[in-house]
Amino acid sequence: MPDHTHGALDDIATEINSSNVEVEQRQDQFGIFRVNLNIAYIDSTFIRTTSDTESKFSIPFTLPPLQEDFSITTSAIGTQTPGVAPTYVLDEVAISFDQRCEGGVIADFMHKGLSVGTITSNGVAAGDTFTINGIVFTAVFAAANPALQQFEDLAWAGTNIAVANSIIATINHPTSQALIAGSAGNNDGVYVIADDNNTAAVPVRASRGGNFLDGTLSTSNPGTLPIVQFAVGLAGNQSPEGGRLDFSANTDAYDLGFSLLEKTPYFFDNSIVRPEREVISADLQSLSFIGSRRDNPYVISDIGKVIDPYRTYVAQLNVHSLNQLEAGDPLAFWHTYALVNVVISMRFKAKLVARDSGVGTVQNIPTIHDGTKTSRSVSITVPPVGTEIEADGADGFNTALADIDEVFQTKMNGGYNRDSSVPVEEDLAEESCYEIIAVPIFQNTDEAGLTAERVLDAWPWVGTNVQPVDDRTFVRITYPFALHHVVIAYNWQGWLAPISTTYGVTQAADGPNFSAEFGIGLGEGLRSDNYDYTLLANDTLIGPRTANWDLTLIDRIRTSEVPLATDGTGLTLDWDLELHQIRLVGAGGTGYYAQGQPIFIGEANWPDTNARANVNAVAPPTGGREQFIEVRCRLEDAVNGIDNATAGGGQSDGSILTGYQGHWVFLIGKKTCIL
Amino acid sequence: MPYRDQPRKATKEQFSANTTIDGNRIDRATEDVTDRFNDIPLADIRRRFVSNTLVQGWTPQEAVFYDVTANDQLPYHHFPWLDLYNHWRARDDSNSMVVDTTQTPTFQNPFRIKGTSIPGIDHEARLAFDNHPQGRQYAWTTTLYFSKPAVLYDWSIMMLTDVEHGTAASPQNFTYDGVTPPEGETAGDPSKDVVVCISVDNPFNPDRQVYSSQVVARNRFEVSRENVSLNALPATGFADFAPTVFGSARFTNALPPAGMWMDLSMNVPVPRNSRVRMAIVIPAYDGVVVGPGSWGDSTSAIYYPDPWYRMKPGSQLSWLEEIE
Repeated sequence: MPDHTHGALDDIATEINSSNVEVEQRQDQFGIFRVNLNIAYIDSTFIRTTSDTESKFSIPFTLPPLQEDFSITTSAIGTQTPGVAPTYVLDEVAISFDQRCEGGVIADFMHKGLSVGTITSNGVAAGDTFTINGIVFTAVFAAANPALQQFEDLAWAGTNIAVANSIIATINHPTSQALIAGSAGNNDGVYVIADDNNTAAVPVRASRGGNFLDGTLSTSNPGTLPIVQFAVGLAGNQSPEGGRLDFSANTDAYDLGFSLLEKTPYFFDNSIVRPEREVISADLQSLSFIGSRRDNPYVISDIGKVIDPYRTYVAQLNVHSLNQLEAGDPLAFWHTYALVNVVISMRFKAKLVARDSGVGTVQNIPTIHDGTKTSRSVSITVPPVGTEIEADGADGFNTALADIDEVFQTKMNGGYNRDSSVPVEEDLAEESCYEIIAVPIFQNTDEAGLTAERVLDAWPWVGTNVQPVDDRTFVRITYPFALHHVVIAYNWQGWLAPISTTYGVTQAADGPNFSAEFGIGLGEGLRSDNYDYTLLANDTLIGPRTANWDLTLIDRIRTSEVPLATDGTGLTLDWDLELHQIRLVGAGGTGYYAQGQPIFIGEANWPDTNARANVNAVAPPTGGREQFIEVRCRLEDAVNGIDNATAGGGQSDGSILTGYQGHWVFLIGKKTCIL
Repeated sequence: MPYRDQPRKATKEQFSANTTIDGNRIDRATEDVTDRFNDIPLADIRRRFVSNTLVQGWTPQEAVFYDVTANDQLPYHHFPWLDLYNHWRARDDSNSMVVDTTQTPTFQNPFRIKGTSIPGIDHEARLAFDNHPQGRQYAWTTTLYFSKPAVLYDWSIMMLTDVEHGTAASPQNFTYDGVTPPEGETAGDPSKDVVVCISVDNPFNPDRQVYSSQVVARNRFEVSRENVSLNALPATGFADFAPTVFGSARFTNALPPAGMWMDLSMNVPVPRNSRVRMAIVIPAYDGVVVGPGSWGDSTSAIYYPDPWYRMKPGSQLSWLEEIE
């Protein structure tokens, strides 16, 4: 009975000999990929109002199916229907930020303003002026008390003060008596501080020894004691406190909220702009981060939520407590904080899949192997019917067992080596995994975002307003990777512009010739003789909120109550963030929009894996010598100028070019098991 | 070599001539092999790690100097670079009007990153002219958490330079000051003042950095030797891609990357539930005792330490995670 003794073993050998050991036959069937988002900082200027609605910092992303799994019905954008594709599982989220290894909170650069000056009232005469950081203060004495040597009414004529009530004054008195306003017989004076550009009195706090007196004060029972110190803090100026640790009683400054939200993309339903579902959420208490024992990174584990490849997801961090501002609080700018170097790392599981192969289907693939597999040769000799069952010999049962066992002993193989070569023999049918690499661009400017008002001053390499504004990020190639999709998240999130004070941040850029061009290329040149690039993907968005801007639109997402990107037809469909596809070069691929086939990326050895298939029908200039991926973004208005209208440019006053902490480029594809 | 009681992996059954070979044993052996083949354990798979990567970086703000007379407030901040030495607290209320040199003995980790000492910086010294320390160091620190074992295997650190970050008179070429270098160093020599390191927090006392384990450390290396390329990359004659960077009247050709690009190949196992910290540390010399070198502009009438604007920083950490 040869089938009884050798049948199963022969079947096993057949699978091994065709490199067809499937993932379902394995105990461990899932690869790990992460969406790793790094934000240089999020500070109190992100909070545009005191309402919680404008404090949700958001980064959208999507995990589209790999090209071989991508299917949609063809109909008008906004009404497409997705097909069936493999899903992923969200396993864990970790959120970290830099606290300098201490249990304090990091002050931001609005903290306490900048100007600190000391003025004493002894010998001051009416009309005397004092300059603090370029702001001229003039002593003015109330007519009723001209003989009193004190500041009874201090006005200033500052040219750089944007908002009168952003000035905070603190007066210290050396006496042991607390300052009380309006109390008859009190020897301490109270003072009115007024901006001569605005006659309304501003909040003032008088303090000494922990006693505080708040409110808007008017002259009453002026005393005879001099002012010892007079401090003025101006909002919007760099504070020397920025970056320092604050251990004060503001223990709720790091009360945060994290949410992962889900929505149907505009591509499938153009009536939806708001996220529809919350996948997970967590309240991060400030007490977790202060004190001698800290949960930083804050980890949410064992989540187990299914992720749909045809949905948009939004990682959202609610930073409502970074700004301890309360209406009328004259000490508001003592209590503003930042999250520094935030990392949101989301860990996903995806079932292992077969790697890309074939010169005609994968661009830039090493032609020496085309991604195809060479199998083992396990030979099982099945004895003829009627033969005696033997242990040894060519058709012996033990011989067959040993041949199969040899495969387990030497371990089943599959995947790529780091130099893009493949193992001599492979057994596994599926050895690759979904991958997404998040690349930041235009991040960490001086205001966190770029405005038309300030771009020419704030960004390096910029000349005239019709010249481009460029940024680039480099990604080192450390393992073979097949690029299937490129998705960009264009950011229109506003902020409280501390430097762009003339026009602030009121809307998204609107110049009809304002363009954003994204390009992804392979590069060689690190410690090498040659320097070249191969283009992988490129698209240009022209004229925000026009058809040319939306040529490859995937989604629009609204995360705030006051979004800056408006469609002009109504408020309900306004949005803060966009997702666009940047199409791969070439043809014959799939995606939200027609694009090229997947592109293999990997370092080579010489002379084996350097020979590569064509990219976009021509030999790639990098010739298999790629060492890094370069991501570029160019913002430009070569016709009307990238700056604002009043300055002569093509964007409305108050336009933003890049939102708070810039844009994201997601490189999506397939990676293999290595090592 | 671990002990095993028999030489096979798939089954314990062994058959040889002149021994029994009844049906039960054959069935058992076949079943063992088939079961294992249909439920292959991880130990039977040769390649079982996939790589994951964290990409970080930005282009720094235009380097302008604070000029009190013009009330010029740029640049605005230096995040995410934070002072290495935990010593001064932020003033937190209006009563704290003293000069900020009061030592607060309540810091848990005053020197929060190990192995960062460099010549020319003394955090605890107080200079006579303004009572400030002799220089500072600023760290860009990133923290990751690994709930399952992982292997850190590649770290690329970039500090790319061009004429915009630095000036012709004060370029960023990673050299010591030409007049007052740190003690023991030669004026104008390649500087050795960048520190890169990775540490793993102690699992029993993760918030005390004195107990952390430093698994990767590079200090006192010549920064300029970790260059993008020994030969300056050509400004013309190479295949570029769209958008051709800086293709404007100001820069007629794309600027090839220059400066430091260091690739660290590692093989650092990280146990489960580990908190891993990466740090890149740069210097800000005081400017008087030790000149700023290429980390500041000593040609400016108002010296302002601005090391964080004098290069384009980038970092990419890659690590392996096991399939599951």
